[in-house]
Amino acid sequence: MKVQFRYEHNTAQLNLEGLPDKSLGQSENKIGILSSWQLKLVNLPLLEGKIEHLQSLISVILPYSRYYMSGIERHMGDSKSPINICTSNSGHKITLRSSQEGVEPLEVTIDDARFADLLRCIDDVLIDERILIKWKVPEYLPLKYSEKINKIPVTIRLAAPILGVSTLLLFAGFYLSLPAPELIDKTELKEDPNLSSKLK
Amino acid sequence: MTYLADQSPPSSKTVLGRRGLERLDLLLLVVEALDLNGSQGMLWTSNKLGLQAQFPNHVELWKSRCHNPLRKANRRGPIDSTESEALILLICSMAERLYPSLRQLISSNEPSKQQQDRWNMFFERLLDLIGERFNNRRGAVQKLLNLESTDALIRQLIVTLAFSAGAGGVDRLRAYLLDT
Repeated sequence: MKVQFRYEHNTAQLNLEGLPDKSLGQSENKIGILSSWQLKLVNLPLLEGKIEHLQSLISVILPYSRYYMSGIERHMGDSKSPINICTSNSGHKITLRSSQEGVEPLEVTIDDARFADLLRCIDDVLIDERILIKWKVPEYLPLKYSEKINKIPVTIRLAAPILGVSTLLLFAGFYLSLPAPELIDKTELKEDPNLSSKLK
Repeated sequence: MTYLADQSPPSSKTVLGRRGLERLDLLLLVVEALDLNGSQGMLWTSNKLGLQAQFPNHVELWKSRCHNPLRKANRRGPIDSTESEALILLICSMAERLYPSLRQLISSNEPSKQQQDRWNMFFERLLDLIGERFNNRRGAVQKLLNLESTDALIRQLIVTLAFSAGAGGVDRLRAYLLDT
């Protein structure tokens, strides 16, 4: 008997369909084997796939959201990954690649609000005790300074050191351009009283 | 990942740096700007979450928030890890409560006139709160009060709050606040 669970937040609806794994003694109303999933986003094409696609969705969406919170727009997923996500001008572009040959990748673009809805649906799946699948969930980690520095434009990053070095060079140049004071031999002063009076 | 209701009382070690404390307090100010009864709502929510030991009254909550170095009356030294965990829980719970308002602010499908009015009202209230509670002589606060430079930051804070709602929100927000 197939089991269906639905996770819904405003414009996002994630449907999971599967069976309990009887060989592991799982009871009814649990999913141990996921047969399919569907992601419905209002006014957008339906995304559906198998367990590997959902695992990929979890693996890219969670770290992406983490970077996005810190203001870093990162492309998640590579050319071989079933799901990719990146930031576009109109929001977050999710690309779903089919495992079947000759099928064009499906792209949907969602805004921040819809992305937050989708994130909440995924959170619900991950904490649902009725889903007995062991997901590979990326850990949320604090970002290092080196990761964050890339979002600062090069001109701003280099402005302070360039200003410092140029100020130093300017002052050094000015100091070097000053005429050096003439050295006067004290013995000459004693011998020539006229020179001594001139200096005074 | 656990639900908010399962997270009390907080126990894990979270030592927030200066930037983390600033962002934490700013997020609470954003909550207050969105909710007219924000401070009352925070106390009510903290009681609901079982955080009476950390925040038994408004004064204790205010004292925890005063670790933000940008405040007019700020407290020196790092915030206690239990207190910071409690504040993170509180923010996530408030974000959950205010999720519809947060969603409206970051949605691109809302009518533009209404959206602009909402943003203007929110900005006005947030800037009033910043001017009232933060030390206006500090450059960082003056930068916050400058509409042109602060627009992107405030939007980022709203997105952060929206992403802090939900089951994984606490872990996401904690990691965000611990950024170096």
